[in-house]
Amino acid sequence: MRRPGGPSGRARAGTKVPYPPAGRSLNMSSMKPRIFVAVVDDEESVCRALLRLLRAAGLDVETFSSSEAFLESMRERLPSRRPDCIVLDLHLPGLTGMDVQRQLKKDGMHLPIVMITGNEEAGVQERVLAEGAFAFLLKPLNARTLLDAIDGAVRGSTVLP
Amino acid sequence: MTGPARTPRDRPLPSAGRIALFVSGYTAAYLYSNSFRLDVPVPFWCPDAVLLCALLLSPRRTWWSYLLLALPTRLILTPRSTFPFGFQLATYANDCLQALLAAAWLRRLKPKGPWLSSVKELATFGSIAVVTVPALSALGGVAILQAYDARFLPTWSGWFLGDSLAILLLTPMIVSFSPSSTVFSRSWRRAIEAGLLVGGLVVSGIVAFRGGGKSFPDGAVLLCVPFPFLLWAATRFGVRGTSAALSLFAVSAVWAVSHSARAVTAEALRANVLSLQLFLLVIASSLLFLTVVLEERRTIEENLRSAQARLARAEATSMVMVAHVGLDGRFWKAPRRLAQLLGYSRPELLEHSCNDLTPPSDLEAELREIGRLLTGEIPSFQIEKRLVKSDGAPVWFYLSRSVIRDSDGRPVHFLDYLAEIDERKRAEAAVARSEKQLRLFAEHSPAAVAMLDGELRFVMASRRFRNDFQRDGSPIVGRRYDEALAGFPRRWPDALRRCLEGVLEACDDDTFTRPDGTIETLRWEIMPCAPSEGPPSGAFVFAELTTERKRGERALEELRQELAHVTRVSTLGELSGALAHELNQPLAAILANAQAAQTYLSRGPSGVQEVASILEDIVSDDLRASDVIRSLRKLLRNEQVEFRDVDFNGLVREVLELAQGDLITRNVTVLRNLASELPPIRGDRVQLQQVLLNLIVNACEAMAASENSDRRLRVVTSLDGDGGVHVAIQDSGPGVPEDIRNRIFDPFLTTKNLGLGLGLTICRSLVMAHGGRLWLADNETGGASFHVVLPRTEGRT
Repeated sequence: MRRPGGPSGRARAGTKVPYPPAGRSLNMSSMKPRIFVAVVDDEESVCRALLRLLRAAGLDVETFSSSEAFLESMRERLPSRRPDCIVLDLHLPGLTGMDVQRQLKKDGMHLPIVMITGNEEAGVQERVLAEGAFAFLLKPLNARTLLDAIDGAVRGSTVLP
Repeated sequence: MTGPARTPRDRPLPSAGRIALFVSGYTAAYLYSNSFRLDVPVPFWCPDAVLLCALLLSPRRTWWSYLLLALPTRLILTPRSTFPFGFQLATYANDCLQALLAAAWLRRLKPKGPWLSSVKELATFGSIAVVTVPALSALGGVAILQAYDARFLPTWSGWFLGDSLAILLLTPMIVSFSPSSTVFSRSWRRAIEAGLLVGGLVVSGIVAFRGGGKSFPDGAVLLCVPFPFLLWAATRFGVRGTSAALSLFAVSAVWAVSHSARAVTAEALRANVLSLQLFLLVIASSLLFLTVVLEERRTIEENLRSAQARLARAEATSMVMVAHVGLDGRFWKAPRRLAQLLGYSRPELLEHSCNDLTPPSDLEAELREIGRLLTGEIPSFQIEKRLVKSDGAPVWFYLSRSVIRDSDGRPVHFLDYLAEIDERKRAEAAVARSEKQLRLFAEHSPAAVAMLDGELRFVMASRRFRNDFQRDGSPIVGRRYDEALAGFPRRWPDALRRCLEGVLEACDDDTFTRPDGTIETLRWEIMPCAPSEGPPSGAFVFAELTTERKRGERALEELRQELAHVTRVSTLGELSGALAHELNQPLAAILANAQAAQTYLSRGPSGVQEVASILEDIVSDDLRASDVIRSLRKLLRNEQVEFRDVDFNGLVREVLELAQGDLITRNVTVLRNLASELPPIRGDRVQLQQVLLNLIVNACEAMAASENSDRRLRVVTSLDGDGGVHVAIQDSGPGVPEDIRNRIFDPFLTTKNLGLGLGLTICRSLVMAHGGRLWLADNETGGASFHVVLPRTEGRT
């Protein structure tokens, strides 16, 4: 598994995000205000599992089973109601994770993205990160790694003006 | 003078014409014979001769009618006053008995005439009809005349001589007459000659007997005057002419004697008649003898001439040629055909020696036989030999040679019978050549071929047959198959027996065990060796050991399976990323669920309900992961090929699921268009999955360079026209480049950086092993499509 924040893992706008130390509590409810995470994965069971995991960690979670449904939803929302972080599956039928990434950028929605994938392909990680994703994680996802990545993504985005 | 002799003899009863002929002839004879003085013996008793002729020339069953007719004729013609009735009856009976006895005797010795065609027949006729029977009859006559105090010897001799003279003179003339004989019609010259003869006889008779009558027997010189004419008749006119001439001569002589002026007393007349009778008997028998000898000789000469003519004709037309060859080998006499065959004229050939024309290689054997022939060791010899033609080419002859010897037994020349047999020899040589070629062909044929005779003994066996089947150290030709062979299938004895009844037997897959226990597999055919007609004269055996081939086929099949497995693994290797995705999805869900559950559980009982649903999801995801692994294992294992009924649409769905990860990874949109009702097909599930997977992966790779939105894979199943199943895998890629289109199924052809280049080759061989076809076509909308047709269950072999 590649760790975000490694030599090539970069947060948005070049801000370094320190990797959270192991053993830290999953309970992120202390974070104010409550962080809102959108999960986009065509696999229903994955969506459901991540929903449970992130909620258990005290996050607000909304799941989408296709990229089109997600983008549609984003366009209709006010910027204040948009998620703080997107957990996006790379291999989506139709528009892929990277397509969504580009579309959001195109639509002016600079949302932090944690890209997840079940299939490691050479060069993909670099491309994803270059496109501006905060982290690139391989399934199956360790809860702490995911939460740390979300945490980092959200922090990074708040640090920025 | 004609008689009843002209009556046809083949009628069952005498016809009126024959009766009239007989009665008139008999009447004439009777009247003439009774015209003499009664006090002297009748010199010339003709009725008996006429009756004898009638009997000789008639069927036996009609004899009674002639015998009966004679009686009234005699009674009517004889005045009752002249002879008593008893006397007449007695003489009639005596005469009838005489004619009957003579006719029966002669007919017994020779049922049909002529009775005078040879000296032997003349002698028989004379001794029976002229001597013995009249002599016996004369004894009867003496007995009848005893009543008149006649003296024995004069009476007997008068009676005997009168009868025998008439029979000797008249019978030959009458019996040798027949409707077909033509004295006068032969030619006018002949008729003139006959006329001159008759005239000469009449004139000479007048000369002889006018004076002779007065001076007889002193005027014997004058009696010689008719002789030249009689000799003329004897030499020129045969028995009939001689007989007629003699009769004329005799009548004249009898007339002269009976009217002789000197014979006034009965005694003198009797003496004269006796002399005349003796004279005529001697003359007639001598002349007839001479005639018969001449006739016999003429007949022999004619027969010889015609036989020679026939022989000459036969020799000229026969296939067999006759040649006379001197002891030195020189031709003495050779037929024209032989000369023609040898390219010589006949005179040229006669200058040659038979030995010179014989090739030296043939001469030695012939000379040996000639030696044996000349020493008398063998009566003849027969050989087939060549004679060299004038142009140097040899001609084959069949020669049968015997030796002609003189009266002392010394060899004079050879008698050769020659027949040209060049054609036959050429045909024989051709047959021998053809048989030799056939044997050579069979001997060196790579097939195991043998021929057996009617006793099932080997006539011929090819080298291959001997190598494959012959028992070690045992000859094969001439031996029975069960003695000569190291082993043969159990069905052969029955098949060979039936083959001799004309039945062809064959088996494509049979076995037999060698003495060392090796089991051989073979295919064989036993067919009758049929002559043009009749039952089979033997059997042909064609056999091929298939042990090695079968072993090779098995090894090849194993290799093929191994290769299929390798390519399958290779294909799956290409899918490994996608497969990781397939597995990682459920694993990701499981892990997330499990960690969520941990959190819920740490919060106490409130989270238990959520944990229950989490566990449910975990089980489901785990099962899904194990499904992926199971189907992977199936494809990765190298199991025995197993043909079963397969639901083809189900198979397509399974493969698409397996490839789903890849398809998603590659961003390929799949369009399924599966026929609603497909018949089951018979095949190996793994192999068919391999084919589909391979085609799908290829299609995905073909679209790698396309825009994401343009990557469309279409899988269409349908019912084939022949009732089989048709599946098309269509992609939206650029299509197969023209330069590799024809080689697309060739091994080691690849457009990828990875892979063996065996995928499509193996696919095609797998489809063909299922009795199906795999081919490439272009889509109407661009891209390539691969088509597979698999036959229905019952259509597959």
